[in-house]
Amino acid sequence: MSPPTLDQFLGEIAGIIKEKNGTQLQEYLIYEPPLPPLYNKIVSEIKQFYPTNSQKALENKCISFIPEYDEGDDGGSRTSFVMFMVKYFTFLRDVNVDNLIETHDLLKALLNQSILALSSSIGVIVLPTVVSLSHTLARLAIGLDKRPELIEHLIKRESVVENEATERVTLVESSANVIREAFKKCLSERSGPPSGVDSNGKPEGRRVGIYLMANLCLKLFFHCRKLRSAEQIFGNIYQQSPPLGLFPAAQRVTFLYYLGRYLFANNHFYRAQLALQTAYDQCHAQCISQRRLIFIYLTTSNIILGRFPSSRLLQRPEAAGLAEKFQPICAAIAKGDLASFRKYMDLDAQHAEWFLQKRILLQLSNRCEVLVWRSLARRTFTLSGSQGAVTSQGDVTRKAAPTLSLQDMLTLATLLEKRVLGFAEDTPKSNGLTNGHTGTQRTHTNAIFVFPKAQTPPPQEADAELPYSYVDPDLADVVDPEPPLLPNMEIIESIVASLIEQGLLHGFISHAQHRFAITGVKDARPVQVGFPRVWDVIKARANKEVPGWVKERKAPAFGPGMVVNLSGARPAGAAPG
Amino acid sequence: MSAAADGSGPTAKATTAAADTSTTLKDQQKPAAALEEDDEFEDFPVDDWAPEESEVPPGQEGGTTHLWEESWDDDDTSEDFSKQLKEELAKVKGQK
Repeated sequence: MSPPTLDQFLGEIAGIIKEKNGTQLQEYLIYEPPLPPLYNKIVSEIKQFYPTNSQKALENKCISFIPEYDEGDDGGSRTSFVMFMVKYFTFLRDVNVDNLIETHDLLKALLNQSILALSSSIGVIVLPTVVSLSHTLARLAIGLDKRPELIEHLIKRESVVENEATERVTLVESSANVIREAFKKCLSERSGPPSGVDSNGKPEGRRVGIYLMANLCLKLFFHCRKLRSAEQIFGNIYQQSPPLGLFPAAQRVTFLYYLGRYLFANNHFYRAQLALQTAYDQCHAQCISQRRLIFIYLTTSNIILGRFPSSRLLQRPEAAGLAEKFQPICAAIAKGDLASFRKYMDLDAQHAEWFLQKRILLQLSNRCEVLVWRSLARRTFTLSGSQGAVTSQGDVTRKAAPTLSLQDMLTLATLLEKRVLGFAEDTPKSNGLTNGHTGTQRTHTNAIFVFPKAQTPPPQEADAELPYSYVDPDLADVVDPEPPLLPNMEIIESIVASLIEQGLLHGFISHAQHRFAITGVKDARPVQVGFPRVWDVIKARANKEVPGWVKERKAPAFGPGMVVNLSGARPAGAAPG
Repeated sequence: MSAAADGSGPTAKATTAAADTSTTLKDQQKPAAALEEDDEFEDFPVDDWAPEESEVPPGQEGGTTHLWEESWDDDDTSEDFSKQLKEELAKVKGQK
């Protein structure tokens, strides 16, 4: 006797394969409960006719239905598809959704087999199924990751593996790695012309899945904070993908969001802004939550680059509540109010936790400080600078350049830093990140390596196992540089020199006179020449090419598998503070 | 399977008709105050849309130009902050 429902189902699957209808195949291969009644019938038939140890019989059953189709150029066979069908039926038979970990593993194995079927000549028919399985696996992996009580034993298992000198792979990452195989299969499609675009201007064959799979991988890599793995995705795409513009809007926007976040995390603020602005412009007007996330990183990048969001922009629905977070930063930058800026960027400040959670606090605090100093120099000039003058003595016309006194700038910086330190106000508090150093005051960059001398034990008591007790002989007598609490002339001079180097101030320093002189004024206003607009300066210096973003069709100059190293690219945007 | 609970199985997804686009998008439009501050970039309810659907609806667009301010230097020297700085400069110079 033959299982009637299973036979009927396989017969219909065979028909779908003949018609090469990928969407219908995906609709037929239901695997998520609750299963429709017909599928429950199939499950009970499989349990009855093909229990756990009848793999071969089930295989033969599938072979008897799945047609022999033309072997394609890439030499795939129907075997991988038959094996996928077998895996599908065993998945339905064995899955127990009360055990989410086990379900995750079974689903991962099923996806793996579907990816193998993707290589066969009918591969593209399986693509919608692969996409669906990948989506479900990604959701399940992230869901599990948010429930540590369920994956506790896995974490323990991983640490055992770690002891065996194998790289530690989390559950989310292991799922991402499987989905990445599907991404590679889509990207390495050879059918059609070398450009990868068919006569209708659409991506050819499996290439339609490139950004669907890439975006899922990126979602998981960002979730488990493996930006190095994300970098590989961008590198592969930059080398082999057809232009992004040929793909649907949802895929474009999602991809550019992750690319922008990646560039932002690597301090490429100008490029991040390019990717995020396009993502924002092309995002569906009603998808507020996506627009909001894009907007947060776009705004942060732009502020760092010297472009502030207008109040009209901040009134949009996706910007609700963001004005109160970003506007104080912009106001402090515009005024050169170092005190307010430092207080606002402090870890104990009102919105600090939000900035930290969004991973933008350090970028804002480090990069925008440069802009605050530029404005403070500008303010010093408008309050007490010398505007320059033309004097004539007989035939000789002498032009004195407009200058500002670095001593005055030091006076103002000292006043503002005193406010931050709470001199004659509060006593500075200590917080976690400053390693026990006092409150809002900045710490030495290498504070975690700077240990108080008193803790160093005498040599005879030194315990080699305690890293804190070890002092390299070369450094034994070195006095740790304590950053001064308040600025001095050296600090002001070096800050001004750095601003000149970054193009944010136009002129030179007279070291002897402690003055900054503005050059090239001619007929213009000195303040405009000496303190050019930040955005203009950064834009003029920026590299507009965004690695990872394929904008135009190009002939493949390199072979597949070529890896682009993005890390060597020079940071665009604000120069190092 | 947690994924099953939200009813977005392949059967639900399979009915991708333009008709249900509007309803799913409306569901997305929660009041801004209720936005959950989650780092996860949600999947879009539809795969593709026309460029004009990306345009911010009238009344909310706030104009298309000058959305980003590139000239923000503050030249007002009469407000409190500038006054305090001026006083400090005068005080320090007076001490010399």
